[in-house]
Amino acid sequence: MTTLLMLAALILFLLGVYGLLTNKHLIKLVICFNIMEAAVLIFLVALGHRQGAGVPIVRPEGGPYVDPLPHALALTAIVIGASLTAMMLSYIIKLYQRYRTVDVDRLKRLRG
Amino acid sequence: MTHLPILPIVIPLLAVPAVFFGHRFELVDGRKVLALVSALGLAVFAGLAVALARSGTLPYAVGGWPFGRGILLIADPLSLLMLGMVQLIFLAAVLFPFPREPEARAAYCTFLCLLQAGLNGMILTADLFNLYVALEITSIVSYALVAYPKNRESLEAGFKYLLLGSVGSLLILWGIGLVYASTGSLNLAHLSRVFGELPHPVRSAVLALLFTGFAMKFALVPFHTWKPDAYGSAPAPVSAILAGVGSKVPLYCLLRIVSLLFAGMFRAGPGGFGSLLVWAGFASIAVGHFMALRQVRLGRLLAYSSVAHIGYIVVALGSASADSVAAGLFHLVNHGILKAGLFLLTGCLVTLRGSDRLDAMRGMSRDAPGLVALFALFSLGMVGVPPVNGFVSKWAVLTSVMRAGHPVQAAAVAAGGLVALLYYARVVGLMCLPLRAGPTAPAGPALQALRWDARVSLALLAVFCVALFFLGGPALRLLSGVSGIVVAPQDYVQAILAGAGP
Repeated sequence: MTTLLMLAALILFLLGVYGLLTNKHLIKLVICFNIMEAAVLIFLVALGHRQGAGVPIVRPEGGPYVDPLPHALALTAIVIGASLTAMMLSYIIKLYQRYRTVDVDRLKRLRG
Repeated sequence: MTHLPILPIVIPLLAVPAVFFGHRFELVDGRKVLALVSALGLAVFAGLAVALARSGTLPYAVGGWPFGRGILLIADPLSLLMLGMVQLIFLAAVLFPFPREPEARAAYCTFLCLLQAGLNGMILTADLFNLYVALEITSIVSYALVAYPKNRESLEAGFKYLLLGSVGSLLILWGIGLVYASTGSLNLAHLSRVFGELPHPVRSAVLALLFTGFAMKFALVPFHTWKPDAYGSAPAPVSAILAGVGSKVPLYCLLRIVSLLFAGMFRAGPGGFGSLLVWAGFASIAVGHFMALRQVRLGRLLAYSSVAHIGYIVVALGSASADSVAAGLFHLVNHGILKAGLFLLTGCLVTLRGSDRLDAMRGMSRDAPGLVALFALFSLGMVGVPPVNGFVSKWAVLTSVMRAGHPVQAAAVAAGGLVALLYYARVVGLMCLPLRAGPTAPAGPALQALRWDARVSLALLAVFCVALFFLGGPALRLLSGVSGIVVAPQDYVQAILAGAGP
């Protein structure tokens, strides 16, 4: 199960990289970043997985529980990723107001 | 237990609401608070220096939690060096007049405060997860500060920086996740014990992810593309801070991680990763200088020069001898001070001329002879000519890289100086040319007297530049002690594993 998830994460991440390198549309670039972020999150969540384990709360009957630390990591990463996405989208709004385009090629002013 | 190691993080964080609401309700000028924060930071730096002279390393368990449970911070001479740099560059930058209209200043001052807290956190943290959090605070705030002027260039630069920087952060996060997956720990000291026993492919994967991620943050070729845009479009004090310390602290983090997790690199001399670093640095030197030659705008020229100088530092660190690491750290300090000074000066020149195009700089030596003289002084340092600090560290880098057995890179360091001489001489030469006659020539506006605080900040940086030339020998001896920590980090590991305070 863990291996499968990690493989999925790797494939998703590479898909995201591919999209980031080939797309010219600003919002699609943000979506590609989100796909890569989702891949890393899946990886982190899969890390904590234990076969047949319960939630990480100490219960009277004991028993194994999943590793909570990667999940804390993933939660932090989700918050950071959400704020980064919000920031990217707000930049795109500002850029669109000034350039009237979301195409990277027509937007470029800084080169060389 | 002394509380000194947490103060550099707590002071700027406490100042954040003071700055924001103080500005919002016009109670206090945010710049004054920022200057006070930096001055307090320097005082804490002095206190830490005294404490470290006695004990060597200063671990600090936040909230008094036992080792392995809570957040751990640690101060040692290497982090002390970076802390001093950050406070100094911040002090110089906040003494400078702020850009734009007052109502947006609340955000600007708040971001600067957060940036300082984030950088100090990255320097002091002793575990990978808090490193990631501090890195993200620093990065997000930098993205916002770069786009702060909200004109076309700065928005485009900000978006580029934001996208590339976020991808870098993701790679770092994956690397950290992989470390946890294979060891079950994120504490750097603990990792330095167990990480060496992992299978080779895992270690290589972790190193590849962390190296690529951090290289995106400190703009090593080929991940440098955001840098000229960002530094060329950001307000001058922001460029000064980002070039002076913002790109140096991720480099420090990578150095710390490599020194603790991949200690073999320093023990076995130049190995696989060392030669990768050395060649990446070589590429940075070549690309940075070549691109700087072709620039027509001052800000972008300085940014490309920064790419080249990051290359010098990486070549020196990658050579992995105690001497070359000391030389690299010294060049890191010197370049930070020089480049901060150059960006602040560029800010003055741009307010005089309304543009940072090189041809707009004509006639500057008549309008502002003092600024041009200072610019020439800092440029000499960048080229590596005595009597400025850049000479000492560049010479040390050159000789130590040569001794470590990398003649090609040493030649690149030397040749890079010549190319830098070409483009800096062109800039200073243009400033000394008379204004072009004709209707297109900008009328030389009357020079407004620089405010006293701007003068203090420039004088501070200039004094450091010249002083570090004359004290170059002692400074290098001091730094060779610090580089000893990088090469053999036992003290650091011991201090944490011994119990991390009460």
